[in-house]
Formats: sequence, C-alpha cells, structure tokens
Amino acid sequence: MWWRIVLNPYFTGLTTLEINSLTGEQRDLLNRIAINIRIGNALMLPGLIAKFDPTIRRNRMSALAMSKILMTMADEFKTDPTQAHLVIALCRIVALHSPNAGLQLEAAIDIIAFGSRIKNAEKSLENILSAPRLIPENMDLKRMAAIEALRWLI
Amino acid sequence: MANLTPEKKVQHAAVIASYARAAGGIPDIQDKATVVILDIVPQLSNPSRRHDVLAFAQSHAVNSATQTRAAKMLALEPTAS
Repeated sequence: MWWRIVLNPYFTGLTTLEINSLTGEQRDLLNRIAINIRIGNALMLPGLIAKFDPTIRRNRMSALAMSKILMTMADEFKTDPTQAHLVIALCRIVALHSPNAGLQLEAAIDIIAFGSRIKNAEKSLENILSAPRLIPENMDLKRMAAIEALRWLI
Repeated sequence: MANLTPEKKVQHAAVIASYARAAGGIPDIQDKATVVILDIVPQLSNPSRRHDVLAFAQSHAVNSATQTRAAKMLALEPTAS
C-alpha cells in the first residue's frame, strides 16, 4: 500500500506484523496523512508530516508545530490500551525528529511508559530499551529505561 | 511480570547489566540487573548454564553484598565434569 511507502521510514521500529495489525481507523488516519503530503497541505496535521523529515523540512517552526501535533495525536490514543503500538510509533517520530529537546524527552519517556503496555514481552523490552537509543546522550533516560525493563522482568 | 522463560529473563537482564556498564557507568542499575539474574538463576534447569550465568553475574556485581551472594551461589553450584 502506498501509504506504507510514504510512512515506512517513520515506522521502522515496528515489525511488518505490527503495521499489518493497525486498525482500519488507523490506516485511514495514515491515508489522510499521506494524502495531505501529496497535495502539499502543510496546514493540516497530516500534511505536516512531510515537513517533519529533516531532509525536506524548510523551517524549524513547522517541525516544532508538527512534533507538538504528533504528541497531541499520541495523547488521543493513550487512553486506549490496545493502541500502545501507535503511541510508540508517533512518539518515536517526535523523539527522533523534533527540534525541541523537551518534546524529544517527553516522547522518549512515553515510549518507555507505553512499551510496558505491549502484551508481547520481547517487544515491550525492545521498545523500553529503544528510548535511550533515540536520545543517546541522556543518562537519566538510560537509567529510567533500565529500571522499567528490570521491573518488567521481575 | 512478563511471560518469559527463565532463560529469556536471564538473557534480558544480562543485556541490561552489560548495557548499564557500557553506558558509561550506571553502577546501581548494573547491580540491580545482576540481582535480578541471581534471583532467576535457580529457575534454570541446566547446571552448566547456571554456572555460566553465575560467573557472568559475579563479574557484573557492583555492591559487595551482591558480589558475595554471587560468589556463594557459584561456589554451591557443582562444576561440570
């Protein structure tokens, strides 16, 4: 599917199986993102994702706006316990690409928190421990991820 | 908490212990991971594997209490003939 080609670079942390497990509503959302990218509608939330890519974004404000919107999107899915994968995927985009260090950190912390909600224990640990790799210089984040991962093991 | 085999748990805890050491030093986390390993080791059925894991734990223990515990457990573990 073409939306996968557009968005795959942002979802590299997800397996094909997990991408396939997205609901119709999620796929619709991703479709709308992709459509807005195609028509170049930077004002709409989905269209901003195009500017999020460091190779094509033209100004930092757009990227910052995008990261804030993506975090809001993630917030909307946080209340649904079955949507942890999507929350993590959105937070991963922010942690990797946001120009704002505070938002990056907030996203990485969410990845640790929501990693614990994935039912697959292997995937949970992988997600939890992925956060410090996204922000490698942050020692507190390493500590937080390690503590959460250990808690998951006990 | 996680539905993992003892072997998998040990492997993950070992990764965390190594990660804590490689991260430039998070000694308390390194020690916590070692304690988790020591807690899980008795659940491993293979004596040779238990021995190897205990040796790893001993080499990664930071606090003296954890070092002592690892050494005692290793001493009690029969070595492979």
